[in-house]
Amino acid sequence: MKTRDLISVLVISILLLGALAYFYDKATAVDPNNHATILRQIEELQTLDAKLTRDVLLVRSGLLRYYDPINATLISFRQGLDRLRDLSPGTNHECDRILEALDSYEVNLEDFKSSNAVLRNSLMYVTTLIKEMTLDNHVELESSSANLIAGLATEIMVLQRNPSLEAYQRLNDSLNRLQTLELADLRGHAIIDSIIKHGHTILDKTRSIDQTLSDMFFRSRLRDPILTLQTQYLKQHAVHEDHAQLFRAALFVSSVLLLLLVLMVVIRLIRTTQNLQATIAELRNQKFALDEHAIVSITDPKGDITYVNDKFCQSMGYEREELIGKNHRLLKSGRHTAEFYSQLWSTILAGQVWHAEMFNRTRQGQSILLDTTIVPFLDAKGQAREYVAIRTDITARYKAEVELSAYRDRLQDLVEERTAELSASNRELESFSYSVSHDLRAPLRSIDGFSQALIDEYQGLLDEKGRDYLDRISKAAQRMGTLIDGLLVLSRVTRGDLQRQRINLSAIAEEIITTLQTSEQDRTVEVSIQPDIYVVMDSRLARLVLENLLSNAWKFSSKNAHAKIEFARNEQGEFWVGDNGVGFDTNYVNKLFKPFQRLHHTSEFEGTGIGLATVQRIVARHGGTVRVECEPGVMTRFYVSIPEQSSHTLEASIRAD
Amino acid sequence: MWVCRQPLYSINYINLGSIHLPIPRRYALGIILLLACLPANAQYPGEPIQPLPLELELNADWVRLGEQLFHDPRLSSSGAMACANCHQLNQAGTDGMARSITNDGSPDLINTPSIFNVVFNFRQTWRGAFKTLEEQAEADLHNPRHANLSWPEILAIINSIPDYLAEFERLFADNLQAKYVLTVIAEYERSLITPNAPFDRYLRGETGAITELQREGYMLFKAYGCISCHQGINVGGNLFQRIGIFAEYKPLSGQLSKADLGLFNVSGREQDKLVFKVPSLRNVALTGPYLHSGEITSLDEVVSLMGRLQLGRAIPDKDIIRIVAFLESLTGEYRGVPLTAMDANQ
Repeated sequence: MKTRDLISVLVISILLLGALAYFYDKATAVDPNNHATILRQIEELQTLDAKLTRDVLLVRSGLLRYYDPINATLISFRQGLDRLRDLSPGTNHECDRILEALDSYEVNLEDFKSSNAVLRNSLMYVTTLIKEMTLDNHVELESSSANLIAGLATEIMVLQRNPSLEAYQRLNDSLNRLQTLELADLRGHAIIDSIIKHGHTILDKTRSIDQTLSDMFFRSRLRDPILTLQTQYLKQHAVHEDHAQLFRAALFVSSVLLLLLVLMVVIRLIRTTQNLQATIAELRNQKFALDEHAIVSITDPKGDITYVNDKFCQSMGYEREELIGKNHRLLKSGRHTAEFYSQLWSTILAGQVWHAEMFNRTRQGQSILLDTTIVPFLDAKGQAREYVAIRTDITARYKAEVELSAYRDRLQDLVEERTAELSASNRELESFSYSVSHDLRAPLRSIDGFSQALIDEYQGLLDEKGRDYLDRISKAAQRMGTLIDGLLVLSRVTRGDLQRQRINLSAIAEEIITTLQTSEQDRTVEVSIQPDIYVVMDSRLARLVLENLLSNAWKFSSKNAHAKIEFARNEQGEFWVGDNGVGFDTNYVNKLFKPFQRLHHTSEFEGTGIGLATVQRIVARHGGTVRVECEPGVMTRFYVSIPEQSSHTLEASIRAD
Repeated sequence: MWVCRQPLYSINYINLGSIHLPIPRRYALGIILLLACLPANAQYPGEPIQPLPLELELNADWVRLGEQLFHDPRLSSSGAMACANCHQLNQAGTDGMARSITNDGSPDLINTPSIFNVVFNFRQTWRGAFKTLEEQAEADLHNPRHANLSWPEILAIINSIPDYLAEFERLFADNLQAKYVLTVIAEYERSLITPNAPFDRYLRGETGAITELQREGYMLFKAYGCISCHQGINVGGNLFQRIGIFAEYKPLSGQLSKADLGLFNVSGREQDKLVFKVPSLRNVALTGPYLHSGEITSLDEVVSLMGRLQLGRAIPDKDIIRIVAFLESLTGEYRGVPLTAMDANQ
C-alpha cells in the first residue's frame, strides 16, 4: 500500500473512531439509572406532597398535636426538589414552578399552623366555658339563654365538621344574640364575654383555616406542578431516548464502517502479501535462471564482495569463503589500462549502468573474457549502496572469434592468391584462345585457300572424286573457321565487365529480324515482336543473346512453310523467343546449353553448337535463368528471366558452369 | 440556597465522621426532626412533646474548630466581641440581659435567644429570617452591631492566625473559603444540645424524674393550651405566632419598634406584624429575661402574660405555680452537666 493510501486509511479510521466515541457518548447519554432515579425522585416528591396533606389534615383533625412532622416533610420536599434539579437539568423551569408553588404553600402552611394553634385552644376553652355556664349551675340563666349558650356548642361543632355558609351565619347570629344578653352576675357576664370572644375567634380562625386549606389543597397545590414536571420530563426523556436510538444506530453504522474498513485493509494486505509472495517466487525463479546462465557478484560501494553466485565461483575457481569480503580487484586481469578502470568507476559512481567486455583473472591465473554489466543499486537518497555485476563468460567465443578472424585473414590471402592464380590462368587462357584462334586461323586459311586454289586452278586436272575431295576439305576448313569464331565469341563473352543499362530488347529484336530477313529475302516468316520490352542488361551481351535465339528460331523454322517467330514477355517477367520450327528431342534437354553439343545433324541444320551455351553464359552472368519449352514441330520457346538487381555472385557464376 | 456539586464528604452534606450522607446540611434539622418524630414517638405516642436525642452525630473536628472561632473575640471589628460574649454557655446560652451590649456599646434591638438547642428550631432568630444556622452565622458576622466584619476581613483575620489556617487546610484540603468558616461555626452550634432534662427522662419512661407538682403543671400546660404553640421536640421553635391574640401586646415604649414588627420585617405582610417564631421553652427557667423585648424578668409573670395575651385566660396563681414547676423541669444538661445560670430566675 502506498503511503498516501496508508495516510488516508489512518485518517478515515481516526475519524471513524472519533465518530464512534462521539456516538457512544451520545448514545449512552440517556442513563437508565439516572432515568430511574429521576422518576423515583418525582415519586418521592409526590409522596411528600401526599404526606404533607395527610399531616395537615391530621393536625386539623387534632390527631397530630405537634408540627415537627410537617416541618420535616417540608424540608425533605425542598431537599428532594434540589436533588431533582441536579438530576434533571432539562426540567429546571418546571422545578421553578414547583418552587413557586412550594413557597406559596409554605406561607399558607405557616398561617395554618398559627391559626390552628389558636383555634384548638379556643375550641377547647369555649367548651369549658359553655359547660360552666350551662351545667355547673353556678350561674342563673333563663332557659332560652341557656339553650342559646348550649346551642353554641353544637353550632361550633357543626362549623368544625361542616363549614357551610349557613353554619358561619348561624354561629355569628348566635354570638350576636349572646352579645345582647344582660346578666346581673358579673362572673357570668365575664364568662359570656369570654364565650363571645372565643366564639368569634373560632369563627375567624375556622374561616381563615378553611380558606388557607382550600388554597393549599386546591388552588396552589403542589400536585399540579409536580405532574407537569413529570410530563415534561417524560417527554424530554422520550426525545432523548429517540436521539440515543439514532445515535445507537449511527454507532452501529460507524462500527460496521470501521469493520468494513478493517476488512478492506486486511483484504488488501492479504492481496499484497500474495502478490509479494508471487513476486518473490518469480524473482526467485528469475534469480535461479540468472544464476544458471550468468556469473553474478555483488559488491558494496567500496568494491568489497558481498555476494557471489555458484557460477562465479566455478568460473573464477575460488571458493565462496575466499571471495566474500575481499575486494574485487583480486580478480584484476592486468590487461586493462588504468583509464579503463577509472571510466568504469566514474560511470557506476554516477549511478549509471556500465557495460563492456573485460578480462578477469581466475585463481589459476587464466584470463577469461566476460561480457560484463555492472548495475548500481541506489538507495532512497540516490546513493549507490551496492553494485551488482552480471557477467557472461565469452572467453570461448572470443577465442573462436580470434580463430575466425585468423581464418578470415588466411582466407583473404588465399583468395587473393587464387584470384591472382585464376587471373593469371584466365589471361593465359585468353591468350591461348586468342593465339589459338589467331594462330589456328593462319593454317586454316592456308588449307582453305590452297584447296580453293586447287579447285579454281586445277579443276580440269581433277576428276569428279578429286574435286569432291577438295570441296570437302574446303568445307571442313570453313567449318573449323566458324567453330573457332564461335569459340572466340564464347570466350569474349566471359571477359569484360558488365555494363548494365536499361535496354529496349524489342528494338534490338526488330533489328536482328530485319538483318535475318535481308539475308534470306525469299523467305516469308510471320514475326510478332511485343514492343517495349525493357530489361537491365549489358547491351552488347543482350544483343548476342537475342541474335543467338532469333537466328536459332529463324534457322529451325526454315523447313516450315508457315514459319512463325514470336518475341514477347510473359507475366512472370520472362521474355521469350518462340518459333513453330522443328524443335528438338526433349529427352536431351540437358545437353542443350552445353557448348558444342548439337541435337541436330549438320546436314539438317548447320551450326556450331555454341549459340545456346553463349546465351546461357550471358544470362548467368546477369544472375538470371534460361529455360526452354518444346513440343517438336509445333512450338519451341526459350524463356529468359533477368533479375532487376545484380545479384551476381561467384556462386551463381560457378553454378552457371 | 446552595446548590452544590461537590463530593459527598464535602461540607455541604451531612458528614457524621465516617458516615457521609448525600443530604445537604441545611436539612439536618429536618432529618433530626424526622428522627425525633419516629422512634421517639413509638415510646410515647401522642405526646405533643418529644425528648431531645442524647447526642447528635457530628464532625468532631469541625465542632472543635467551630468552638474556637465561636469563643474567639478576634473575629470582630472591635476585636473584643466573640459570639460567646452574648451566648455564654455558663449562662444557659444567653447573657441574662434584656438587651445585650452591642459593638458600639449601645443595647441591641432585641433580646438574645439561647444558643442551646438552636438546631431543633425550624427558623433562626425571633423574626425567623434564616432557615439554616450557616445563614444566621453569616448575617451575624456582618451585623454592624455584632462582629461587624466583611468576608475579606474575616478571612484575613483567620489567615493571620496560623493555627486556624493550618486546621482549615487540614480539614478541607483546600484554600480557606467563607463557606468553610460558616460550616465549622454551624457545626459547633449544632453540638450545643441539652438532653436529659428531667421532663425528657420522664418522657423516656422514668416516672420519678419529675415531681407531682411538675406533672400537674404539664397537665395544666396542656389544658390551658400552652401546648398548642409550645410543642414538639423543642417545646416550641417550630411555628410562627402573633403575640397578643386575645389582648393587644403593648410595648414598653408605647410604640412598636422595628424589632416588634417581627416576621413583617421578613415577609412584608401587614398581618405578620408582631408575629414571631414561637421560642423554645427548653431551659426557660435559666434563659430570662423573657419575650423578644426581654421586658419580663420572672417566669410567673410571663406565664400570666401569655395566658392573658395568647390564651385569653386569666390563669390563677395556684396553676401558675404548677406550670412554672413544669417549666423548670425542662432544664437539660450540656456535656453531662446540668445547665446553670447566675441570677437565674428560680
